[in-house]
Amino acid sequence: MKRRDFLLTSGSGLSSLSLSGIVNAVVCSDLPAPAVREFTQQDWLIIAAVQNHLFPSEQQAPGAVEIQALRYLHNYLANPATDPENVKFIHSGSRDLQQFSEKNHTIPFTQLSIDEREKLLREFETRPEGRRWLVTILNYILESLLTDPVYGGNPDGIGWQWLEHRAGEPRPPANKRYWLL
Amino acid sequence: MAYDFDICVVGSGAGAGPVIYTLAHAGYKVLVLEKGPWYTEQDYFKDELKTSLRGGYTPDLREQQHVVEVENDDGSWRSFPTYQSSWNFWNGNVVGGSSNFMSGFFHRLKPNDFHLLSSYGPIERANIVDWPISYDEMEPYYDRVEKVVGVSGRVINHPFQEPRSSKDFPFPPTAEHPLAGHIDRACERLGIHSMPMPRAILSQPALNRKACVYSGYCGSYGCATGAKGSSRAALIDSAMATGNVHLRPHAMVTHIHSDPQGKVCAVEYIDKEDNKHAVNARLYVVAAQAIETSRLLLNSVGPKHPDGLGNNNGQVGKNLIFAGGGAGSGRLSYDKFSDQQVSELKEFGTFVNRSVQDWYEISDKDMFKTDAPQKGGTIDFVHLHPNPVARASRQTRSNGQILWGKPLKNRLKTHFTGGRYLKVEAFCDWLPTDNSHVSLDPNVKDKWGLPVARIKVDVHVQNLKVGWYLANKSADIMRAMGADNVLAFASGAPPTNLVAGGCRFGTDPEKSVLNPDCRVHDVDNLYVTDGSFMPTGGSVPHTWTIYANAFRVADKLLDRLGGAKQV
Repeated sequence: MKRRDFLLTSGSGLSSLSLSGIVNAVVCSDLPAPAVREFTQQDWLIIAAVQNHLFPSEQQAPGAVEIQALRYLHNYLANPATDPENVKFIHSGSRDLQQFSEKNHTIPFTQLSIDEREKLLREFETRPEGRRWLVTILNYILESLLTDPVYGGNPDGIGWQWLEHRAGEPRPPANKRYWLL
Repeated sequence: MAYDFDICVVGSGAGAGPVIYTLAHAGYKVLVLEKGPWYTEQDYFKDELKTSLRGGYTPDLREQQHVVEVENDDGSWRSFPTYQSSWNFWNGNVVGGSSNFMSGFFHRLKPNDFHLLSSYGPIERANIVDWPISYDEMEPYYDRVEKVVGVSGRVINHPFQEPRSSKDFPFPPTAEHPLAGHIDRACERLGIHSMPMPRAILSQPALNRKACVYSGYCGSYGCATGAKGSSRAALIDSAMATGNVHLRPHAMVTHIHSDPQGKVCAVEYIDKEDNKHAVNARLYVVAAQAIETSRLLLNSVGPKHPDGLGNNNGQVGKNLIFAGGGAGSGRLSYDKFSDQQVSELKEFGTFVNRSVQDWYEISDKDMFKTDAPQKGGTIDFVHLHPNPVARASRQTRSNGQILWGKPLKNRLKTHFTGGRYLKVEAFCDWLPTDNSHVSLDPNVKDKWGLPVARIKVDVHVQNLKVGWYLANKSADIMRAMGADNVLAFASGAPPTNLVAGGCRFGTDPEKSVLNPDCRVHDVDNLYVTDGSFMPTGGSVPHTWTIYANAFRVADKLLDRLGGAKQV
């Protein structure tokens, strides 16, 4: 198997997991892609928790879990076409947030209440780098909500249906995703 | 002397296609060097990531970028490389160039645009000149574009309708969204002439191409049917069928060599595998889009051209222009309209296709403090661009904070499902000045070690005045339609996809780069046929004029080569 093919299929282990509620520790056990090897289990957990906070699940509307935002972000970070600077930025931001959280609380970010998370993230937002990181994380959530399901988010067009959005035809097939053309 | 080709064309966009088409059909051997890949209809999908979010049709800025220089509020200037910014001056490095991704809003220039200086007088700090040719000389080529590239529309009478040799467009207008009716009714009440916007899109099968299928994703997207009149679909595909064209994609032209007499003797390029090649031809054409054309000439020093090819008077790169203007938007909220109207407004895929040119010339003493008429512009009404991620991202801004959580989700729901948005694009002249130009950056190089283009962008206050005027007029129309959330503003930011100038044509070699035939003044066998030639840009998107002028120059090239070999 070519390195690229391996990297592109490496997210499949993740996709088979249940990501309901707070993501459990199993999430990172099967993420062998070298491009994201530097991401530890703790990194993925905190990113998932932030995603769920920024885009919560609701009865009538999909949240980060339903749109597979974590899988989508993983696919993006594992893709060799992705600028390594972006990978580094998302990684270092998650570490910064962990440190910032540890300064303010004795328990990990992932165990904070919704209100505590909101307060902490709003404080994190006042730091220029923190704000840039949150904008970035939110941006990939919105991509996961509204880009073609062929990229790993928006399963069965759940995001399009929620916002009554009409996708255009022809849609991109798997063998003509943006980095393959 | 034996030549590899009759003509070598650098680039394959709107400035190149007419030359390739005309000369190939006349029996001449044409080489086309295009730095990007060769996509066909089978490669174009409605994929926002490829098209807009990942720069799928433009170079990786880590490898090829530009340096931009802009003015600070205090009058000083700052510069930065585009990789470290949100700017991107590339516009489609693929066969057919950026014409693949245009919306195809096609307007001709008006007769007065060809002699702006004589018609409206000088403006301080603006390098306005008359063109060396008249509208009458260009008109047959505008007409040819309608028929060969394919322009759909319907002529109506309005105060600034330009003269035409054909009574009407060869193709009827594309299918219209019910929003067009709302605009027409509002304009009628206000005494304004709304008109069907001409489009470079086939409304019916013709010219060996399919008709538009109204996917709802046109501008920024490559066309999957061939209905859009890109240089590739409309001209290059047909030229290829003659067997006279040799098209080399992934061919980055690095240097145009000139001999001791100053004539071009070879073009050097690098292929996908980084191998160097050199080719020669009887005549050479550069059409790499304005910024890269100037950059290539400046990088191509030779014994008679120590400061760059055709640059002995320091004019290459000067007087770069964009499209000036304004923008606006408004929303027809569904709760204000009947069920029947809402159902119509929700229609998807068809075009708004409405323009207003009532203020192509403006007489308004209150605004301009003079009785003299001012050059105005064009208002185009279009759908809000459908890209959903871009639309959603704009909803995350809220009073300095990032909007997230349920408040964001509520706003998204309202934005996407509560009404139909209308967008305005207003076009006016981007006045050329001494501070708008392309030069070579002294520090930043591309991946081949060549200096990148440094783009200095100057905004003349007149652009903003006219932009505001048009934007406010468009807001009046939107309010008369019953729109809410109406926003309209002039913009000083250069639209990086609407760029021209840098090698203006003229009769005086000291003040222009090209002669009236678009041949470089002091290089007998080199022509420039992209938008670089434009001394002023008109108050419309440039593309139709670029196509028309390239057809005009193609006829000059054909004459030089000895006329058509075969019909």
